Amino acid sequence: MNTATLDAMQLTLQVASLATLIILIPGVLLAYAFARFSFRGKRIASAIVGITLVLPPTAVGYLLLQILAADGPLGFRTIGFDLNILLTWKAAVVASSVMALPLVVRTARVAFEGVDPQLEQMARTLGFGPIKTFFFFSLPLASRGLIAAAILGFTRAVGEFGATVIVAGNIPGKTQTIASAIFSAQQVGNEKEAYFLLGLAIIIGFVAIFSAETLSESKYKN
Amino acid sequence: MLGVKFLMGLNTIVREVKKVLKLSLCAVLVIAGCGEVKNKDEAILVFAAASLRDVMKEIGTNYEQSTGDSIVFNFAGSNVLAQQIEASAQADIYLSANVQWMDYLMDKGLVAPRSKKVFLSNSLVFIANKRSQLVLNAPQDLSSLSFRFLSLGNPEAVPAGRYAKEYLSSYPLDAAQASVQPLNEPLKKNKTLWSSVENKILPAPNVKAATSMVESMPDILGIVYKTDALASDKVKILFEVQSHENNYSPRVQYLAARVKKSFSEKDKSDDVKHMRELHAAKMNSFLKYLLEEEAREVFKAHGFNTDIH
Repeated sequence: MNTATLDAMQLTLQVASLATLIILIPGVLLAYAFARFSFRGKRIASAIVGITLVLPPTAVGYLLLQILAADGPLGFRTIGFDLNILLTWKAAVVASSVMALPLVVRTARVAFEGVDPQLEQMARTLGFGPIKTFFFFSLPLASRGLIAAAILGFTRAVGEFGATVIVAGNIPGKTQTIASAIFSAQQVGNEKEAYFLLGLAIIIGFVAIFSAETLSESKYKN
Repeated sequence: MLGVKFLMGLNTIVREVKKVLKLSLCAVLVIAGCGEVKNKDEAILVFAAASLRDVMKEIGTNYEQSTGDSIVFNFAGSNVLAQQIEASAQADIYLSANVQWMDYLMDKGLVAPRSKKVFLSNSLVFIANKRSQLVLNAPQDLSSLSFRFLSLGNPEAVPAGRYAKEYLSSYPLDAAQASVQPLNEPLKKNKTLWSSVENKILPAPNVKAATSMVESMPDILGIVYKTDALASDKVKILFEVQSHENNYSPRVQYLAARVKKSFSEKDKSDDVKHMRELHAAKMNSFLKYLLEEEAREVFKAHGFNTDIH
């Protein structure tokens, strides 16, 4: 195992954790809005949030590249200063966040929908405001599902490849994640490293899915 | 009475539908059965190095028009193609951008040795975005030049990247050193041009991808083939590595060969054998065409060098 492989492992976990942290709060708020309120354009909003789940990741990557490129809407020629995101680890975080958001929102939405609205109404009749009701009732009641949402978002971010490789590149020791390291190992024909990374990916994936399943199951037993 | 008639009518419809279904099932089976042999017979599947994309498309079209045979291309880094051929011998012809990947398949017995030939050569160029202010007069200046990344084909695998690495790692940082140090003595690692840019390498899956990185960002340099630079209107050539500039210049050669196919026992009927022979003849004539004047004109027009000796 060389240092680049270790770097890839570390970077993957850092990028995925950061992406999960970034999308968790907006993701949960969106999920709550979709689960509890009906408003104009709700379906369209829901479709926009969910679209990266069905788009090819490379399409998302290309879109992000166009947005962040020098002449793009967030490029330095347009906004006047360089965000310095492209081809850095930050680009990997952006790509993973965009790709993992819909999974977090969908899972969290189901979690909120599983909370009996009557319980929330009872809280309101007891004098709790809407914000307090959300924090002291809805959130704790949906917590298991929300943790599962975070875990799934995390695993999606760990596995992100198509969008990441376009905006962050595949630079060993800098922007190479487990996913892109496997791609490189295959292209070079380095079987040993590919197998090691494969094993690593399977372990991370298994632990994550297993804990997400355990959490969602025990929810019904309680 | 009406009900009975209706039921009888329904029955006929059901019978008709069943017949149609049976027929279409037969058709599907027949098509599926023939599909494999027929497809192989029809088109020549050429796995070609990414740097040949533009020129081979043109040559393929010319060839199709003059012979009526159809050509299907799969473009990727020569390393990717070699891995694909190793995994499953779908290709008929392999066009590699370096000798190593051709030898890799040859060693595994996957290409026909006698069909192998060098058919083109190319040269390396340093490129930058058209809008970039970067200037490079000599390769040595690379170590003092301020740029963010050096975009290459993955130097561990992609031919263009390997050539670039080979070139830079044999280039001493100090040019005066070259005359003092005998060339057959390996240079110390920390003294080459490669070591001075190693932490700025941006590896791409193939040379076209390396070119498009330079196209999309202004502070990135690239080393690609001359033909890739000429094909892009968004990059400019800063410096061309002359093929006989000095002993460091790598020889960028393209090789063509026929991919060997293994056939199972059941495929040994005369019909199949005949088809296979026809197909082999087509492959050989395409390989021959690559060296003919008509093809050479197209290669030259794209900036390739057809004088390979």
